[in-house]
Amino acid sequence: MTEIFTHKGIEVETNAPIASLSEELGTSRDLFLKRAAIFGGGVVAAASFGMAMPGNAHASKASDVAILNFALTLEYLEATFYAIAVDKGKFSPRVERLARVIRDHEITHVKALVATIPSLGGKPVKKPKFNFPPALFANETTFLQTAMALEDTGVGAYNGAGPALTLKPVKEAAASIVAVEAMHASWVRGVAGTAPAPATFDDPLTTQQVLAAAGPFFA
Amino acid sequence: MQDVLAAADTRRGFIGKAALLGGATLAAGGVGAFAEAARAQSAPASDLAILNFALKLEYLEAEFYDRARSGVFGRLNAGVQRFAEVLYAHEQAHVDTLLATIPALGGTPIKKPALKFPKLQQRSFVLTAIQLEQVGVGAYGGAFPALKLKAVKEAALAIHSVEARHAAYARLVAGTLPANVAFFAPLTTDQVLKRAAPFFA
Repeated sequence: MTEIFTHKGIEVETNAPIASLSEELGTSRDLFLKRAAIFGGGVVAAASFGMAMPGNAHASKASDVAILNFALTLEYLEATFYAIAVDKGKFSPRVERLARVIRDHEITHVKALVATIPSLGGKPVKKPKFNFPPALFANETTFLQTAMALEDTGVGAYNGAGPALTLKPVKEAAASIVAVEAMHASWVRGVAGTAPAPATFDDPLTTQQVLAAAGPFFA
Repeated sequence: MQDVLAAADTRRGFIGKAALLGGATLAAGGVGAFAEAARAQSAPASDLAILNFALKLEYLEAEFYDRARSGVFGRLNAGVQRFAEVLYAHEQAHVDTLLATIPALGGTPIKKPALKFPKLQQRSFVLTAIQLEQVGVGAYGGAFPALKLKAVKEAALAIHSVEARHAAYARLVAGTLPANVAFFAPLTTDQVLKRAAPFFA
């Protein structure tokens, strides 16, 4: 690894509790859930007007739910991948930490989506069955290469789906997740020794492109 | 090895930008989104206002990294110098793209604002980069829900996540946790202006 990734102080600062860094930077880890709760209230209020609720509001909710369920499928994939890495991987402390932190984020995304989809009148997809060959976790290189592919795909998936979202709180929530997926991608790339931000723009991916990239991991 | 990869990756971005600005064959993806935007007749005034607000921030970022890479903040070690070069290239590309896109959508790009920067050295430069990038992420994340034109939404998202990569890159360089929250809160325009205010003269 190059000097920038072994900067003095890395151990001290990376051991800071996530919560305190979160406060320091004014971000909120439960933003999504808060917004979901607020929005859920809005849905209940709107529904109580019965026929007064415009028909296209139902259509909007349905299309947003479909997108969120697609996102949930990918978040399940990521959460499972990192959970296996934490359980089975024999990694250096630095890579171990990356796997743990990202696993926790992805699990939080799964929980948030599972809680939000019903508030939009939808049904969350069940956790799919996955197929992660043990070789992926046999060494840091294969683990990091796979993580890189998954995170870059996650970024492209959210960027591709984002423009079709219709409801403001769902758009906000999606933006707050894709930013974190991009941070993961950058982190994994940096630790793997490749450019953390490899291009000027993050290309959106179509659903078909996402499925083609992630397909091999579905059993 | 890392240098080679970084150079190759950065070049990919430049080629895309050059293609867009030259009006030649247009690449797919994020750059394609801008091209699509540029083919549209006009964007709603609210989209143009958001793009100009983004341009203001991109001007700030580009100038900041240009100063850093030119040695204004003192000598940087090789890793930090590379960081400054890569981010300068990206932010300047964002500026150039917005400058080309706004008129194509029927708007007038704002002029480059007068900027000011505190005295910085390597460490404080990297810490300031973290703050600026996180403002950028929050700004795009906060503005996205209000955008109306599909192509502008695609383009904004294509930049938004690159700013997030920059934020994590800066945190990595600083030696702090690159992704420290599960959700990255969007910022309102007022929050963005308040946080960026010290840099506008």
